[in-house]
Amino acid sequence: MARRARGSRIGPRSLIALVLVGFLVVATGVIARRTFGISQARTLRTLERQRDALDASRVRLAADIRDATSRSRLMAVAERLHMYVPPDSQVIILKRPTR
Amino acid sequence: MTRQRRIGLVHAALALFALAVIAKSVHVQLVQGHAWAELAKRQHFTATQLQAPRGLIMDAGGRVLATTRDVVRLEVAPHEVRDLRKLRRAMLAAGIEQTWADRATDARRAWVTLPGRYIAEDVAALTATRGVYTTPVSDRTYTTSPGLRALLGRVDGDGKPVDGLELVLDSVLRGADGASRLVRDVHGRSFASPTSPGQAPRSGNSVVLTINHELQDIAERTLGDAVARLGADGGDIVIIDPRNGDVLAMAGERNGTVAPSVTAVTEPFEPGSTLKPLIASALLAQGRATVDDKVPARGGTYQLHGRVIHDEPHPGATPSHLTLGDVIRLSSNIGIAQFAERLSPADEFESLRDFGLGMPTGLPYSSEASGTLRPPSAWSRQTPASMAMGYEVSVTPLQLAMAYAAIANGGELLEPVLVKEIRTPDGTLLYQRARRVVRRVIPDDVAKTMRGLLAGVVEEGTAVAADLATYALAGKTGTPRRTVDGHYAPMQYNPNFVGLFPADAPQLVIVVKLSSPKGNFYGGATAAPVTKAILQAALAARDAALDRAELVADARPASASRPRAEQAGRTRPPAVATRQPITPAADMVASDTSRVVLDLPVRGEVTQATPAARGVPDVRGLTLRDAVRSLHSAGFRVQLARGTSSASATDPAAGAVASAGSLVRLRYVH
Repeated sequence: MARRARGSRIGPRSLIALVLVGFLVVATGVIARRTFGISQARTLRTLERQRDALDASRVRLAADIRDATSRSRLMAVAERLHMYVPPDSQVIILKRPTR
Repeated sequence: MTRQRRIGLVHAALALFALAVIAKSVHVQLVQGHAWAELAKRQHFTATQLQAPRGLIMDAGGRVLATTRDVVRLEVAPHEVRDLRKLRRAMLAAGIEQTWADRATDARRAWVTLPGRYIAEDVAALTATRGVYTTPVSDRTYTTSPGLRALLGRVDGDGKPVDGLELVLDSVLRGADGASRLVRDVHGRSFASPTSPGQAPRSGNSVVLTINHELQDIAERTLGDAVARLGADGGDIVIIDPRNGDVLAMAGERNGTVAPSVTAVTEPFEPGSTLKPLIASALLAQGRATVDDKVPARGGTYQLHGRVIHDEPHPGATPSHLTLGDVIRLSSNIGIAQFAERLSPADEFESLRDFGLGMPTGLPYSSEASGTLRPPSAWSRQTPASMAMGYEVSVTPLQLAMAYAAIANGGELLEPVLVKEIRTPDGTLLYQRARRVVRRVIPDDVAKTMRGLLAGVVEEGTAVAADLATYALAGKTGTPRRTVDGHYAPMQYNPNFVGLFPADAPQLVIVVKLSSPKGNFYGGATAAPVTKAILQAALAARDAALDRAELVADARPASASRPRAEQAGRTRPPAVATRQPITPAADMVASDTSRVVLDLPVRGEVTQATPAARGVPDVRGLTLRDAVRSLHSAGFRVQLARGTSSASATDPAAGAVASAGSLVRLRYVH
């Protein structure tokens, strides 16, 4: 009984060592977390820049599409193909049935 | 001194030192702690302002007309670059001018800021190079036709509005700037703080205009063709929906290029004979005349208050008397001058003012002109007759369109609408345009009578060149003289035409005005055919703001389809402008181009159109549930605008062809 009680006692050196180890573990965790956070922030920033760049490209492509589908562009092509704007007499409007 | 005392002194010294350290620590932590924390924060963190992107500007169909994109400005520190030749090649490959590439790779320079703004993706090869720095900046980009640029306006390099809608709607389009907190590492490099992300900027609200891109495109193209073909100095086209005042298209051209401002709103002109229907409406509304009242034709020459008024020779036998209907149909100056004498100057002034002349229409555009309408106190004896003929009064094309819209919609002068909706970046509706009636100008029956008279102008009057084969068009021509430097320029005219389509229940009011065309200068020979070309293109277009279900009802019976004007032996010479921009080859157009309307058999379910494009079903009168079901069955996505009761209208309108899966906005009335 007495031997068991004597063996379970933690000495002051062990206590200090435990506190130091605990401090080391906590400090390592904090540093790791901040390092990971900074790395993620950099990645996020890079992705945001890529998104902005792609969005800018999208806008430019949308403008290009708009130009390419405008009448001023298409009509010139249509003329070369002997196409024409139909007179109203050639426009057929289909009546949709109503229930 | 004994050993014990020396040990005691050392202990005391150590204790004092420890106390001093503790005291200083307490001082630093508790007394100076805040100041030191602030200093550390300043060294470790920097704050940067994040510019909020301006809101989108879209047309009625949801197409983006103006948007903000993030681009970069390039700066080079040549002495930091390891391989200047390689950098120069990369710059030239990225499209940077050679002079600037040379300057940026000149090792004697310390810092070079390149002009222009670049998409980061385009200059990725450059920015990866050591010594090349980028500064992110916002760039306002306009993906619209040139004709709308003046209306939309501009922003300067700092994102501040300069003119146009950008300026007028700045409080709506401008967002709220944000702030970002950057952490500075040991090398001085900055990156976003992972623990305090700052405040994100809030984008501006999106503005949806009433502009219909198909009609806008048609108007610009048709006006450009007409100006070039007729050798005119310029021209303007305005297209509005008379039922709700929506401005659907505005185009302007000056000296062979797109007008630098919205000339349809900023440049008034004397309208000439297109003002006569407004006087006739006032006469009818006030009971001063009936359609069948007659005045003498006076052989084409009439002297009034020392001034001689002439009429153009009428086709066929010259009548001895003219009814009010004849006056409008034949555009008789002598007739309208005599009829106008039945109105007192005050009545004439108030009638024209009631039609909106002499005051801004209320369009959200900063430099809208009010035109000229002088009060009777400033009139001469000739003024009443002059104003009845459309002189001594000036209007903008938009004012003229709104005045005719009153005739088209049953007599109500409406406020023109340019902004259809305003939405927050997350799509919440902040504002939706409402039909705003300024005043009732004429009774409904007078408006109907006037539409009949104006239909006669197109069918057998001065505007036969605008006549369509399958739909009745109402309208009025004008051929006023052009004022240059305050004087009428010899042989220069501003021919114009106002069309109401279709005549019975107008969906569009089209104003076409040309400046100094060469050759035949009559409005009926120049501006009227332009209107016809616009309508034919609109009818053939996929979505030109036309309610085709209603058009079918308004169409002439196939047997009554009118032959083309030139085949009808009309006396007005067809102008060069009557030729279509693209003429069909003779073998491609059947000689009998009668209209065909097919009645599809009614089935229990809505027939599916082709997968690519299909017609928007008519859901008016259906319950909300049935309307949504019908639109879903037809293959469209549905967005409810407002209301809870019965379906009132869709956008695109019923009968319009839209691609499968596209969004149809379903509007409801309460």
